[in-house]
Formats: sequence, structure tokens, C-alpha cells
Amino acid sequence: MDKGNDTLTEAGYREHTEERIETLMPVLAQAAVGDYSRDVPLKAPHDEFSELYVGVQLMLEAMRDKISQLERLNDKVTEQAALLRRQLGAAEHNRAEVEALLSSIGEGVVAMNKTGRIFFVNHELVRLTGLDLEQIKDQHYYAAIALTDEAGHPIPQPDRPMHRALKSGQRVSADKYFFRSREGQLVPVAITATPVVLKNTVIGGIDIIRDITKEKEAERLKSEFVSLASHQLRTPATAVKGLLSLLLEGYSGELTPEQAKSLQLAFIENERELKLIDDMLDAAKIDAGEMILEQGAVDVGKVVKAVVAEQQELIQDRSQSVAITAPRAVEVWGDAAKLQMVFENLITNASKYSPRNSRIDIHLTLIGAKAKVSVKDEGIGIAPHDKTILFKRFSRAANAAKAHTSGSGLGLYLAKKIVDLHHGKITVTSRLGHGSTFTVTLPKQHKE
Amino acid sequence: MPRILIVEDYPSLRKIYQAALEHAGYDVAVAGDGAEALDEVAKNQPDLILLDLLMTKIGGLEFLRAYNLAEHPGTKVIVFSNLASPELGLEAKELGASRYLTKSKFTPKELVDIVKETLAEK
Repeated sequence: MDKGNDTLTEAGYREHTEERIETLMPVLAQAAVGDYSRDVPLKAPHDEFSELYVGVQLMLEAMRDKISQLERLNDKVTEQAALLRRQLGAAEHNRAEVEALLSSIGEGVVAMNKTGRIFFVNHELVRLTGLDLEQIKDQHYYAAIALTDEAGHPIPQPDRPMHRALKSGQRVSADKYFFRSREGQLVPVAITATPVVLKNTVIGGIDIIRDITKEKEAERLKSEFVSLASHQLRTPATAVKGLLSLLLEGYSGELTPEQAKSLQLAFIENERELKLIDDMLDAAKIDAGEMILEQGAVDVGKVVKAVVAEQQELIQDRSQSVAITAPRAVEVWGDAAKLQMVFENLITNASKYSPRNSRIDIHLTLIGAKAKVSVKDEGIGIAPHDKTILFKRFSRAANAAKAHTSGSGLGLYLAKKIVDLHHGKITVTSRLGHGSTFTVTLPKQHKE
Repeated sequence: MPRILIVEDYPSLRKIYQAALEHAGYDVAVAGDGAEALDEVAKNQPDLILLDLLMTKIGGLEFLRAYNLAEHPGTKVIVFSNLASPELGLEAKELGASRYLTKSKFTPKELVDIVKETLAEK
């Protein structure tokens, strides 16, 4: 009988099985506590356990693979986490830096989010408003930070620069508002409100606010100086005017034609000087925001006709003709005397800068709620690059300065400012050498 | 002939206005400031006062307050100043002035016409 080869006794089989399982046990025991490093003792001869052993061995190897994968993943995650922590630290540092920068600049900064809640204020803003930080931070912007006019009346939300900026999507600057300081004083401020845009969406708004007390004071002093200087300059010129008039009236006896002519010239030059003083005073008043309109219903046609009648001498001297067309009565709400200054300027310019025997056309119309007055001449015209400086203070177009006519460079500046005060517009179209057309558009009524 | 008091601190202007008004036949008195003017009106009540505003000692508005036009219905006032200030003009009118004019805008002859007009008003 061949021993153990073909058949095993039942006892022998059990013994064999136990022995086989026993050799597997340490491996499984170690795997049970998470150690898959031990191999299954694979050995000959092949028997019915061999496939199980191979299967367990494969499982162990698969586990080892998975574990090493997991370990690599873990390393990667740890690495990523460290990177994120560094980035977060840098971002926090940046944020702190930006906040420190904004906090320490000398102008007030306040930012609000889309819902109007304040999420950033700096020291200067807190100081300017006269409030405590707790009264501002995280509060609703319009409720927490009041803005007033010069009389101390609060500015309604729709008129506030921030509201206007957010509504229009455009930056809005204003320098006519005030904060009330802790001591109850009104502090004039210049405000620049800007919508904050992220990826084409408005996410809030930011105000830059500057205390302009010093600027306002300098403006006031300047205007006071000009006002006093104008008075002092006017008085001797008024005496000259009086003396020349007395001579021209013959108070000191008959004048020869030559004497009369010279005195008349002296009189005109003196009037020019007085006009220049007046213009300077008006410009100073406008710059200081002190020009007050005395408003009422103004018959524009009547004002224009009065100006033409007044300038008749100038126009006739130059053999020019003036045609006024007005299809119907044109009436606006405004200051008649100041509007007269505007048209006087446009009409005398049209005459001064046009050749003899030329024609000046004045056309009045009503378009919707607007009155339009255009003054068209056949004069020297204005070069395109001069159009921008035309309405600036003390500036004259190059060809105007060469045209042997006097001018202070204040006339159109004043005209524009007066039209602005009426909420109107003044525009010019021109061809160099062919004439210019100045057009004044005035609202018939304007809301205060 | 109506009596006119010129209150003006600038000598040349005082002389010019005096010459023009006398030439027109008015009886003219002059004062160099508000204080002199108060002395003058105490002596003789004028029919019209041509009043400057900015003067050393007593200014025009101060003079008007002291003189009190309500108590002197026979006297008219033309404020004649080179301070073209609408606010001062309003104040002068509240104090009873008939007109508030800017000196530099008028020749002596035009002033005489305005004086005539003002005197003719009720």
C-alpha cells in the first residue's frame, strides 16, 4: 500500500487540515491588525488548500498595493494642505496689509456691500464723521453716515453720491456736502463715490472722503479779496468816468471835435476797464459759489432784443446786420439780468469776430420743455482744438487773440457758468474762417 | 429847489456829483462820512440823500439805522455804492432806501436823471 498517496485516513486528513490552517493563522492574525506584510507560506505539494493560500496571498498583495496608494495619496493631501495653509497665511497678510494701507491714508474711506452694509471704514472716516467705530461698522451705510447741506439739513438718499454712483454705475464726485463733527461743527467734504465691480457685477460701493475746510477757507479769502479789490479798483475808474462825462457834456466849455473824439475814446477804454473789473468779480463770485440767481419768468426774446438794441452802435459801426427770428414767444424761469449778460457776450463776440458787412442770425425756438437760442455769425470761426479751451477761464482762441480785438478771456467762461446755474447747456459749432454758431439751451422750468 | 445831501468819502466823486447836481439846479450839501451826514441832517432835512456804503467812521447802512427814514417821510435815499451786493441792496431797501445802484454803471448826467425821477415819485 502506497502510504498517504492516494488516500488519507480521516484522522490524517484532519491533521493535515489543521496543520495547513495553522500555518495560515499567523498571517491572518497579522492582517487582522492591519499588517499585510507577511506572505502566505506557499509550498508544495499542491493540495486542496493551495488555491486558498494563493487567493489569500493575492488578497494580501492587493491590500499592500491599496495601502501604498493610500499612503501616497495621504502624502499628497498633506502637501496640499501645507500649501493651502501657506497661501491662506499670505492672503491673510495681504488683507491685513491692504487694511493697514486703507486705514492709514489721510482720506476717509468707507466701503459697503451690495445690501448697503458697511464692511470697511478707516480711522480718518471715523474722525470726520465724529462717530464711534461701533456706530459705523456693520451698520447700514445711509443710516449710519449722515450727509448734510451747508445749512445742516440731511441730504436725502437718492441725492447722495453713493446712491447716484450705484444707480448709474459711474463714479460720482461732489464737493458741496458736509459732515457734522463731534463738536457739532459742519465740516465741508469732497466725496468721490465709486461702484465696486467684480467680474462685471456691482458688489458694493466705496467712498473716498476728504476734509476740504482749508480749500473752502482759501476760496472764501480769495473771493473776499477780489470783492474788496474790485470795489477799490472800481472807485477811481468811476471817478474817471464821471470826469470824462462832465467834460463830454460840456460842463467845462465847448470841446473841439478832436478833443471830443479823444475824450470819447478815453471814455470807452475806461468802460472796458470797468467791465473787466465786473467780470473778474463775477468770476470770483461764481468760483466761490456765491453767485445767486434772482429768478423769475424771463421773456428770452425781449432780453435778446434789448441786448441787440444796446449793442446797436457796435453793430452799426461794423456795418453788420442782425436778424432775430422767433416763431413764438420763448419764456424761461431764470435770472433776466444774468441771462442778458450771456446773450450780450455771445452777440458782441459775434460782432467783434466777424468782418464788416457780415450778418448775424439769432434764432429762438422752443423744443419740448427747452428753450433754444442760437447766435450764428460769419466770422473768423474757431479751430477744433480751441473749442475745448473756449469756455475756460482767461483763455482765448489763438485766432481771436490775433484778431486785434480786446477780450479778457472771461466772457464765455462766465456765460457757461451762468447757463450752468440755470441747468442749461451752451454749445458751439464752427468752421475756421466761415463762422461760428453758439447755442444756449435752457430748461423752461427747472426743479430746485 | 429840492435839497440834496451827498454822502461820499471819495473826494473826486463827491465833487463830480456835486458839480452835476448843482448844474442841474439843486441845492447841494456834502458829507464825507456817516457821522458828518448825521450832523448835516440834524441841521437841515434834505429831500434826497445820495448815500455811499463803505465809509470810514459811520457807513451808509449804519447811518440809515441811526437816521431812521420812517421818522423822516420827507427824505428819500438813493444808495450809490460800488459794492454790487444784492444782500446789501435788500438791507438798504428794508431800511427805506428807494434805490440801490452801482456807481460805476452811471454817468453824472444819468445820475441827475435818476435823482429827478426819484424825487418825482410819491
